[in-house]
Amino acid sequence: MTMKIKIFTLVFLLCWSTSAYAFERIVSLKPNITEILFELGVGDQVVGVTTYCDYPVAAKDVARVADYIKPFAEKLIVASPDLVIGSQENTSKKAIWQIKEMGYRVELFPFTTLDETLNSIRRIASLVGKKENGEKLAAKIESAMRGVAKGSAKSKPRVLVVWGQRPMVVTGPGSFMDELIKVVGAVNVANRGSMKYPHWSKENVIAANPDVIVDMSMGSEEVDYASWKELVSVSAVKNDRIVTLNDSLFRAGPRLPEAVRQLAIAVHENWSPSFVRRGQGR
Amino acid sequence: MTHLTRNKFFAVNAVLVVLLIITCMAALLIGPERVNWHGLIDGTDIMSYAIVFVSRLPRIILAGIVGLALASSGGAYQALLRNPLADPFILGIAGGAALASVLSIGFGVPFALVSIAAFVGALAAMTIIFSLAKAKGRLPVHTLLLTGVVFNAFCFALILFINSVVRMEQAYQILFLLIGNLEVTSITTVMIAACFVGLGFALLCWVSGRMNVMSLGDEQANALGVDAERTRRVIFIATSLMVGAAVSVAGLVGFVGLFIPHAVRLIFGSDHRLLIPASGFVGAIFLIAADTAARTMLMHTSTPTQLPVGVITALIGAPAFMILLKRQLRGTEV
Repeated sequence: MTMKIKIFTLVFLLCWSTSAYAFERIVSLKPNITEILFELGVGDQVVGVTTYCDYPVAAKDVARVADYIKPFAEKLIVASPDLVIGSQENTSKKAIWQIKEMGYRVELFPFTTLDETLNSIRRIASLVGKKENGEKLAAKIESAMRGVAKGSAKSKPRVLVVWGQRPMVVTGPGSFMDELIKVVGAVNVANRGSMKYPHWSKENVIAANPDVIVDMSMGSEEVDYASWKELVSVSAVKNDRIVTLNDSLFRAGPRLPEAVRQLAIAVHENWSPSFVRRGQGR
Repeated sequence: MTHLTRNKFFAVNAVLVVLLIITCMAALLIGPERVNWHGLIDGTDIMSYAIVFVSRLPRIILAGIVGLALASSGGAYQALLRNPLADPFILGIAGGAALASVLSIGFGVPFALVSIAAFVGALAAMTIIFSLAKAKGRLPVHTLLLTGVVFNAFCFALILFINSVVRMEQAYQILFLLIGNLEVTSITTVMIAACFVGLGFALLCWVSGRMNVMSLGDEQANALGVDAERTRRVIFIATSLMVGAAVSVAGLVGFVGLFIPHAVRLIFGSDHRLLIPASGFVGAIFLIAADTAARTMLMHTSTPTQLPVGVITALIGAPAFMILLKRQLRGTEV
């Protein structure tokens, strides 16, 4: 009888520990996924990230096994992951197929909208055995969104978010940034059609006449004011409201609360702009 | 084809210049955004003023200059190389300019300086190809062509290499440059480019008569009193100035330099004294029209974006040219 109980206890303990068995070697194929993994507390198990992964600081020391779109085959093999996490929308499908063929476990998650992001965070958390942390993180982001929406009251400023110059790539309807603009209580002037990142000419900017321009084309360095100066009739230029924000903040990950807070401060005139770099005048 | 008379020369060029002016005015009127013309004339509507004079006018001027430069250079190269497939990018100037632009983008140089770097690159390419292709103090046609083509291949291989190692945003900018675009950075840049293009164009028109004779070959040309060697140098320098200026500001706008001279040849004949200036004007008209389409066409559809102008030039140019060619062939059969 005691023998049976001992065997049963042993088997039970074994099963219990394997069900809480976390993945020991995780590879992330996107910077936002890296941030999420570190925030969930499994940073030590991350053995491979992309060349763009720069946050948190610890991520910079992790081996680079991929670029933005696809992994480097040999480096991935050296990292020998037991789990590879990528994004559904813009990780190369061919590369994913190749990794699966090599026998690795790959999981893809969508991050195109806020809801999808929160859902993906929860699912990743439960996959790596950190369900509670995942709930906490998702709740934190959700409440930050609600808090910002409440705080930004009456006036709805008209905003243009620019991602690049030559070509001038702006934030169109249906994109992630477009959703954030709505959350902070502003209006996206680039709201025609259904193209997420249309190319605009100067004429389109002049006619749209935004109150605020968020220019992220130079990363987080200073804005190239010379290129905006000549659009004399545009409200944002006249009132010196061309700002820049750190574009890496806006990754679909744990820094979103800070990102929307900075965005809200940038677009609403009566918030104090202590850290938002403003125009140097004309 | 009748001989080129003085009357024909002036008549054709006059008509083309008038057409060019009409095209410019039409391009000012056409665009995706509404302009309040009364407000513009009154001076009350600053927005309309900005749309027409800050956004549209510099672009139209640039399109005109680039079209002029590429089409007339294309015609000159076709004569110089005695090859109907020659386009203004074939001799390596464009490769040098493009490589210099891409290097500047890769090093994060501010855009105002990228154009200057590109022009310097074009002149450097011209010097290198010139000295490489020279044999015993002469510049043989086939050596020039081969040197140019190989130089181009080398430059574009370097461009692809750089494209693979830069960041994503820069790679996108590089692609935009290679496709060709008429997004104007500053009116100053356009005016400086216009000076170089004007100079080159004047030089080219000056030697256009000699191009007729050069198509007969060097010995014949020399026998007829045309110094083929010197003419080749003048053409090379003039086109380098023009193509260098055009590429440094607008990137590689394809198809204009190749097919406009052929279209003009079909309509007005092969005499280069008319062909070179006429190609220039028709090139300017064509590119202004193409750019107007590129910035307007899709703006009120569900994909409201600007197209790269190189897309329009090829999409319109290719079928238009085929129609023209067919009509010409039908004409000769009857």
